[in-house]
Amino acid sequence: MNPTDKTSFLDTAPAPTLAFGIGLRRPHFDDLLNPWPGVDFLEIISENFMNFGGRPREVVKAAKERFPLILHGVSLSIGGLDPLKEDYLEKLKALADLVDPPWFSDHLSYSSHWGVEYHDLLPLPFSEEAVEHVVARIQQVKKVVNRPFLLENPSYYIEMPGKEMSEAEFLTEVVERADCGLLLDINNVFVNATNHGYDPYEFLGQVPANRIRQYHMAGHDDSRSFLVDSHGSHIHPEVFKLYKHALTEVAKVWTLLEWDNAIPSLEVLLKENQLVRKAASEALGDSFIVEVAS
Amino acid sequence: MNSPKPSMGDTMETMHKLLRGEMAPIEVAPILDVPVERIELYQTLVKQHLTNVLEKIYTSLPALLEPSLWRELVDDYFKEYPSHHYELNANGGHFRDFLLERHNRDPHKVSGFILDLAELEWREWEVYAAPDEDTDETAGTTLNPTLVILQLDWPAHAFLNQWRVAMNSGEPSPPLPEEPSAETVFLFRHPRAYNIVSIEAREDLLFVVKMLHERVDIATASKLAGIPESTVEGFVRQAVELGLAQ
Repeated sequence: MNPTDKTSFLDTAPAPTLAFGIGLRRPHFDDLLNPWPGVDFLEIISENFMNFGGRPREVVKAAKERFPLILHGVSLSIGGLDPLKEDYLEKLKALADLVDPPWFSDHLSYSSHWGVEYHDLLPLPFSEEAVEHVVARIQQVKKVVNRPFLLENPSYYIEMPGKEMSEAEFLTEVVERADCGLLLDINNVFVNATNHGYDPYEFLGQVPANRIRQYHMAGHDDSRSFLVDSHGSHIHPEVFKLYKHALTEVAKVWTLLEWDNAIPSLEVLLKENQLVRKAASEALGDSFIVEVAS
Repeated sequence: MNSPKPSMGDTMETMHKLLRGEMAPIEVAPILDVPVERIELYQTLVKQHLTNVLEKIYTSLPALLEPSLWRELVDDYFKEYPSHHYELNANGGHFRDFLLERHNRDPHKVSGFILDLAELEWREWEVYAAPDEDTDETAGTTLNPTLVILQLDWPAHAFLNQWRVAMNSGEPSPPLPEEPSAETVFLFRHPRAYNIVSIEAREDLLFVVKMLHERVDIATASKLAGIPESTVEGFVRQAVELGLAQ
């Protein structure tokens, strides 16, 4: 990256600020006209709106009138070996132009191979080969969508063969060399650290804090011999603890509550979001964070 | 001597075989040097995503078919029709083609009625998701651009309506029809409320559909059909109220 280049992520992305949001999901479309106390922004899954007219399209327009919206993708397959899907990128750009988000994001993983879509996020090897491959593809994505792009650290249950660096080094190499931002999923950090035996607090100290613009918070499932990033339950107390550390020691940025399985009522989501705000308030000693939401 | 380091391509090929069910977790685990239980989760989740989407789109089929048959159909569909679309729901569309193949092979296993139910439920999804079309404000009354006219051999539409009412009120499923009985169904997304409307075709609505499709004005249609203009106006008004026209 050229330090004088004024098109770099750090020059063009919005400066870090605090805000709290939830994901806009289909069961809550009817609630959109009701008050959503404590919600500063909404995140939408890009693929749930890219190919749709009718209700989803109208809901996005209505949501945009009330909230800043962020696009979060799950099918970009930035680490995949198949060529990037042109149709996908065109539709993503069209949606971004409609929504005008401060950034858009997807995962540092792959989700398709040989033209087959898995609809799941699969880990990449922490290798130089993977770094080079992903960095080149991020450049392509940025060129088409032409907005600040964040990569999320995904959860992973297996380490792929060919590891040459740590997860934190891999993440850092990719976002630095691709000159993009980082969406740090705090629950994923906790799940991965537990499953792969590293210290999540050390991990937080190793990622490029200046590139973080958003956190994800979510619940996980511990019914197996390893943790599963299920997005279907309340946030674990240890994840809240890690989140507070991230806010005080790493970056003060937008936080999104994710709940994608067994989606509860809006009331439950709003309460969980209040708990996130409360945690931020306790961490930062900033009472307005909770007062705004009350 | 150390074995050569696997490339990303090698690893993704192995994972592909696992995720497509071509290799068992116990075979893949030693190749990737990972725990069986963890690799198994990926295989389970990938298949579950497709299963879930089929159950979401074809709501009546898992309830009406024998559970073992439904599982067999879903398993075979997963094997024979890999997902090629990044939007998960879109991968449910070929299920009708797959059911037709099964019907042709054994009509007792997958009946013509089940085929028509599947057609109806998929079309409902397509209409829900259909892209918006720019409307020409100067064009006067036009047909709803999402309109689909379905010709069904079995009374799947009438049955599905009854079945949904029964399910919502906790009542037992109505009996499956024993004989074919043709239905023509109008299916569309309401232009203002965005709900999916399905109604059995009636003479007055068919008249309006034909008239608007052929861009014939009310006065001409009235003359051609020998119906008073006020009656035709009433037909059109009714079609607009229903959302069939706009």
